[in-house]
Amino acid sequence: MRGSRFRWLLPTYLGLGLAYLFMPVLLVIMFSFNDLRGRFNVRWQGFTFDHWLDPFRVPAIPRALGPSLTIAFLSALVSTVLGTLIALALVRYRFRGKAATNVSLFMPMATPEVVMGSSLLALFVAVQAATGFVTILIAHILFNISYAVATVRARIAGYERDLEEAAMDLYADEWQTFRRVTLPMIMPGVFAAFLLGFALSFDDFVISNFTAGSVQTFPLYVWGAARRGIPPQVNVWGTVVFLVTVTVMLLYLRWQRRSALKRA
Amino acid sequence: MTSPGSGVPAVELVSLTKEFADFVAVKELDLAIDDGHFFALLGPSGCGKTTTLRMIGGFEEPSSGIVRLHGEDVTGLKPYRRPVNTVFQSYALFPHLTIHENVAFGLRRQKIDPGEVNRRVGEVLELVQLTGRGRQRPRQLSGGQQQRVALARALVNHPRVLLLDEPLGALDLKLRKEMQIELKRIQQEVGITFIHVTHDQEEAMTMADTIAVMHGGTIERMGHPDEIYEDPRTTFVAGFLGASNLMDARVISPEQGKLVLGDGTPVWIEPSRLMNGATTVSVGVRPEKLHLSAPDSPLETPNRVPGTVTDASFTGASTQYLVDTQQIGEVAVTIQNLGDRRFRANDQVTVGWYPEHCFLVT
Repeated sequence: MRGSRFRWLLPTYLGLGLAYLFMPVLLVIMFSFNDLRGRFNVRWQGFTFDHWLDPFRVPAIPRALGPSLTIAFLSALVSTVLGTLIALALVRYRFRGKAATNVSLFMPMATPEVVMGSSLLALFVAVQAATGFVTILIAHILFNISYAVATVRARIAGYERDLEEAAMDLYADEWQTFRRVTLPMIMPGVFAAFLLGFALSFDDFVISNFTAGSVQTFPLYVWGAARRGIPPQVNVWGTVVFLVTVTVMLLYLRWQRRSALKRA
Repeated sequence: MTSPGSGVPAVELVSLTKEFADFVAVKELDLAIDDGHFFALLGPSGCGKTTTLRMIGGFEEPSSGIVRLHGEDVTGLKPYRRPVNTVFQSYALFPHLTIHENVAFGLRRQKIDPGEVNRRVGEVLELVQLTGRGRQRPRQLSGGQQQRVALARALVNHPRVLLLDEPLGALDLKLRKEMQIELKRIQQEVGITFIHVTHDQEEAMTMADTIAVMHGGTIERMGHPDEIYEDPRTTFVAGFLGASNLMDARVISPEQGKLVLGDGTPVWIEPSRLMNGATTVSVGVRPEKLHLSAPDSPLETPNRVPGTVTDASFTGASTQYLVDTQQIGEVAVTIQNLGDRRFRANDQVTVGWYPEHCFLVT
């Protein structure tokens, strides 16, 4: 066989690619077990469970996680609801301003974050809104909506309008049709939009930095801490967030595969 | 509310019109369908049959006109407020629900007692021969089974009118034939008015009590299948319901039913079919109504023209001939294979037919 001498090539390439992706993550996890002396958690000094047993030792971390998780949850929720409705309207109906809606939805994805963050700040200053929790939330909903629409729209485009007509034919009014047929059909897309929004919001630094005022989110705290030396508890929490995200994604994939099997 | 047989039509359309942005799909359609009938709307794609059905179901709002169900004006009512159910061409089964839940969907929306729901779902699944499939999902079933689920899901609600939009279109030929008989059986068993949209004339003729042939947004001919087949009245209907041979003729004696072809050959037809005072007419005759004989053994049929066989194809039960004649051009002839003499290309023959098998078209 012609390719047999190079059979190792593809697996090696894949292995290197994965290593490149996961090295930084592995380092973060590894250094959450580092028995460090001094302030800078950059050199391996021995193994310890200390930081895992005392994750709240630095009070600024839970104080930053609170708003981060709340904002991630709320912005994902609001943007998923709005995004789903917008996606339905865009796929189903022809209306004035449809093209303009499409373009304006794409804008937050295309605009550099620095530009968007600074314009938002300028806006909030102009309307004399005190920056803080609410302004971060507004900003995160703003950029999350674009991704939510894109995610849900892909799901709606793939199924037949007939199903809704069939539901209405079978005595379901508009609301029941949405709840019993439309929503279950697009649920995988809606759920994916929520997860994506949560991750994007939790992870955001640039836009939060402009709109946060005196509120500190987790990325903002880490940024600030980096100059003084990042406490290993940050690694602990980073690992937790990583593991939770991976677990949810795996559960989601399994659920999707199982419901796909049921339908197959 | 009216009971079946009270004389009020199950469905009544009054001057129904549907205009879309760039064309008129249905033009001032008047139609009354009797209760308990199996009614077929037949026509090529774009003739307005599906739009008509969708206006009865409430999926399309008419531009003008009235839809009545059992005497009640339902124009403008939402689909879920109409006592009709639909079997969709794509079946439109809910993929996220089991067969049982698909069938129960309409009953649950009507807040029917759960015990009663289970009883009726079981009953209707038995009617369509799917007992024991309730826990499966639509995609685990074959096309024919899905089709029957779609039927069961509509019938379980005991609609007063069942709408079927090309319900057999997605099935292969053999299954389609089986389902035609099955559908007819079910309709007779439940006694509900069926309105069946199809472009397949054989399907319509197999199942329906009454067929309306639609063309260009209007009904061109309506009646019992054999009635419209034997006397289609228009060239379009004649051609849509099957093959036919058409010839132009001049009326000589309306009382006797005597006509002549272009070269003076006499043709006799039923005088009753010469209704209007037309002087030139177009006469049609179906291929299976024609007889063939060798020139030396004359036919008894009053109408005869000589010709030459140009093509003979044996199809098992019958043989299809093409015969070239001077008087009426090329004619198609279908002869049952009863063991009589078969002709071959280039044989000289006489084509003959009886007056009662002629129809006039406009």
